[in-house]
Amino acid sequence: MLQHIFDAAATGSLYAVIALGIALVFGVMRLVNFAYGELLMVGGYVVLLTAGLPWPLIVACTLAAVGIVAFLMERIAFRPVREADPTTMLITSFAVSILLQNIAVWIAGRRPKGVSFGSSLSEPVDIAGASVPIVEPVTLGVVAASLILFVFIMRKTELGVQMRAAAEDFRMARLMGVRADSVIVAAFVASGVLAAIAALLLVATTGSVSPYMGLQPVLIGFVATVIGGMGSLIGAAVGGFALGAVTVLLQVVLPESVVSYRDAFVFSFVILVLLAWPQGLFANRAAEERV
Amino acid sequence: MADEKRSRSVRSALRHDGRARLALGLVGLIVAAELLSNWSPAVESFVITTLINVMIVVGLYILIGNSGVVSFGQISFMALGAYMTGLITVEASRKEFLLPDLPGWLSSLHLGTLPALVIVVVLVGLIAALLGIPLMRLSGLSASIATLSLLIISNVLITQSSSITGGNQTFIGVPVTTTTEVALVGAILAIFVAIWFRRSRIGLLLRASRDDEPAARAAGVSVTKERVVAFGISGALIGLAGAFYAHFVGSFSPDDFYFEITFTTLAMLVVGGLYSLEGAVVGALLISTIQEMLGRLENGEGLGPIHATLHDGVTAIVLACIVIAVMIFRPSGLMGHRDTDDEGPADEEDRPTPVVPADDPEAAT
Repeated sequence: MLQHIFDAAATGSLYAVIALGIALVFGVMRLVNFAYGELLMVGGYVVLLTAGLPWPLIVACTLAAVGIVAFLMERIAFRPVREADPTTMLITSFAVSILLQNIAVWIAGRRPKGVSFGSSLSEPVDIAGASVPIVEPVTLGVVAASLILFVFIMRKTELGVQMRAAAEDFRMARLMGVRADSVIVAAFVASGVLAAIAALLLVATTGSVSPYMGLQPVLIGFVATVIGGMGSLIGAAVGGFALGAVTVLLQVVLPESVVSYRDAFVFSFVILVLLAWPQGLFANRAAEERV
Repeated sequence: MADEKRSRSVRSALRHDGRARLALGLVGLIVAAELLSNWSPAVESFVITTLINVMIVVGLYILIGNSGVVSFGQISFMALGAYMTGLITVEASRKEFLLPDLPGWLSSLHLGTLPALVIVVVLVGLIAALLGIPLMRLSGLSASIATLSLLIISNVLITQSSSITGGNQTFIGVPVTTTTEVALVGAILAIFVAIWFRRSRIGLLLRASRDDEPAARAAGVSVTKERVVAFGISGALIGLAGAFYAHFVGSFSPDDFYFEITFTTLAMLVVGGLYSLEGAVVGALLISTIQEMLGRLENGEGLGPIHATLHDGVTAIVLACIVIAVMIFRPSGLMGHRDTDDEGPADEEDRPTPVVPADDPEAAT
């Protein structure tokens, strides 16, 4: 039982990081960034490329590379469509996602590749009588540390406060002197860093990378963001954690014949949540459309 | 001098008279499809694929173009149509062998292509309308995410219900009956349905709600009801396109109806212009052609005198770049809002000068 709880907590915290990255960008510019999954994918391939180096260097390279890709993404594709309606931006992000996926196909081929990063982390360790792979407590620790750092940045630094203000009400924030460009760039880079952290943890857990590895996480992040209330950062993180925990627990609880339909249940739940609370469970008031 | 005058009047007729443009376009489409199909089998299959794409994109336009709700889930209905017609038309003896766990009545069912197509249109249309009742209560981003969820759910259901669909395995043995002529009939049917719907009362109400939802609601438009109708018609047409596809390729798998084709068909509509029927058709023709040419180079088949071999993934890269470029430089698509007999916000120069000044409501009454 304790083992399942650990599984659930580790998956949940990974999903929380993913959801936070999506919610951050959504908050400041109403963009559902489908290409977020490809930031994870890029992170995975950077780990593959730098596999021979000592691990702190691998981590540094991944964080830097994904941050840069996120920055370029905003600059090239999303800045020109910033004023457009959310649907136009959604389609643009769909296109960016396909673009990055196929650049990876071009360079590295379609087949998944094995990565040895963090293979020592899969060894089991005893915690309070339960045998869990080390990667799970490490995931919990890394996520907790990054979230604390994240909260600190969002609450104590000027840029963080501006980002929160912009997520609450973008136009009002601009009127109060927040610079749109810098806030949006910061949100993208921060979401890139979160994607890199998620990528490192994901690669350490699964041990492989492929051009399509971003799809599943981004869908999960979507769901979490929707459940958690679009634009609410805490809501997204909580939503992500709940979703991860629930998926793992469903896996355990549901009978064998139903488990394969799990995702159908999860996404039906998304539709139900949207129908009941079109703005999400933890929506902030500014998200409501006014006439 | 007279010649120049005439050519100018023809051009102006094409510019201003939707009917002339429609007739010319359809004749052009038929002639081009017939001529190209006789070229070689490879070109023929390109023509049929393109015409099926036209059907799908026009089906998307009926919902998206009129209502402004961008659905990512319509390809579910394509899958539904394909599997449905497959289950109806594959010979009973073959089905017993391929899908031994099929329920008895389905297993013994065997009909020709034409009755199968009728069943597909009716059933898929109904299912789409039923699903639309909850889904179309949503607007904007929520609607997009909910319909995306629908796509994922339908994919899970298809891959997991292996007793009926064969799961992840390829569904084989569908009779190949989609010829160029059949596909042409399908594409033209789709275009006429779209024209009829756009001119209908419901189409008009939908476009009003698309341009200003609160105002339309205030004027007594239900919005949800009209969207459900559009969702159903769009689903029926795309289901039919799925059946045509099944009868064209003969074998297919769940992956044929997932993110890739969802993106490609949406890209066609976006490039042509989300709110324009002409855009839907032009986008489908244009992107299908680009895709075919690059795809052949990617497979190393060569393209006439060109014998370069492109790397795997290049086609999708080019397509994605086209969509991004269109979104940045021409968000309303190549055809913009221009449309045959559209009363909407057309190009300024196309609109006749109003007899009554717009800002003088007194004079109008």
